[in-house]
Amino acid sequence: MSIDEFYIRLMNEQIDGIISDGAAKKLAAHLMSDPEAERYYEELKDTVRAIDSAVEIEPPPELKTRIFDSVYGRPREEPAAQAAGGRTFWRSFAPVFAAGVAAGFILFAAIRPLTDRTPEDNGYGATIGATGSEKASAKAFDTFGVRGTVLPVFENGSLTVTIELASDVEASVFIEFEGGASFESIRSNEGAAYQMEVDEKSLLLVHHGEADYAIRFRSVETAAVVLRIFTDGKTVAAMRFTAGG
Amino acid sequence: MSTTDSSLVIETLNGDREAFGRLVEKYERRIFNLAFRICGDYEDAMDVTQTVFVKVFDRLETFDQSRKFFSWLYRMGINESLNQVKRQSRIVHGECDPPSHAPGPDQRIIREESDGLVQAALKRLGEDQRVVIILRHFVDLSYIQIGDVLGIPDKTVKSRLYSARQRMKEILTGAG
Repeated sequence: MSIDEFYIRLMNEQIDGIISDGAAKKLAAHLMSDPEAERYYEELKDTVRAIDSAVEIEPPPELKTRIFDSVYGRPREEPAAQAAGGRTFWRSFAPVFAAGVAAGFILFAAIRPLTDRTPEDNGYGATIGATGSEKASAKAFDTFGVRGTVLPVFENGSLTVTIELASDVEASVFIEFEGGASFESIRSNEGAAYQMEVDEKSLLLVHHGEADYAIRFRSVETAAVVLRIFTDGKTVAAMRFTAGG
Repeated sequence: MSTTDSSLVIETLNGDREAFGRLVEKYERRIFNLAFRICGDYEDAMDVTQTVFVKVFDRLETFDQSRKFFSWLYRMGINESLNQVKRQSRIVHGECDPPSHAPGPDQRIIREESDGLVQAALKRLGEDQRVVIILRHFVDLSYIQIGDVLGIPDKTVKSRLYSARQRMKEILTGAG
């Protein structure tokens, strides 16, 4: 096979629908001039069509019951370092213990200066009204080399979360949205280098360099948005916004 | 009622069985299909899916919640499926076992020739290439999501996927 690897990459990008307009034109011109490349491309498309035509298999209806029987019909697996007795105690008193820890944490957080807080406890929640225009106060963060602010604004049924990232460190912004929220658009300043993946319930933005982003969510009635910023597997900031309702 | 994976994970950790049930409902079919395509065997896919969800439940406390839940889950599904293939070496060298259950409409379809050819071609790929084809074409993940599951850059995902497609093409056209 004497087809240039460059064109094989473009063929795959074309099949996956991620090719740029310029590259698509370049590929089309090449296919017109090289019958071998054209034949290769047709075979590649046939191969992908054959793979995609394979049907999804329905799991048996009893599988869920089997899973539940396995999970809840037997004692839970004990972590190696934990004694069985200690585990039983923990499971019995976990809700009480968790409530105590939460109450202690809230008290501790309230009396401690913000600058002393670690990334794990810089959670920030905001509830924004249902009518007119309203915005919460901006939240700043500066941890693990990632600096910036987050500002949620609710206006005319849309929740816009403006994120300013002023750092050369690669950071990821992971947003999950629920209620009536759906992703509408993202704007960034010119030259911003980022990659983004969006599905029905979440958005992942991988950011490089300094940039501002305005991410807009459409809200039918109420919208809850959980936002986490992290770098190198470490949480920089965790926030939750509720809009409308 | 919350629907995000993060919320369901937290509620499961708090002892909410319904939340765990919703995680199972959401991902059972995808894990089952992932396992079926890697193992090539209906019964093995059932066993793998069951084992994965039991392990998810047992290890949920160790899950790093700054990561995506589905990446963790799929990674576990891949590892468990590959382990099952190693345990059942008959699957590597033999043909696909047809489902032993009474065939429903979907199960009849999987016996169709084209599906059988694709499954046979998949089995001839190396592990890395097979997994990336399955994640892209059977689980419908994007390059970035595949990279997240496998812990590799999306550039590596692309080159592995393109090589895998080329190998599949060679096998399916009889050139490989």
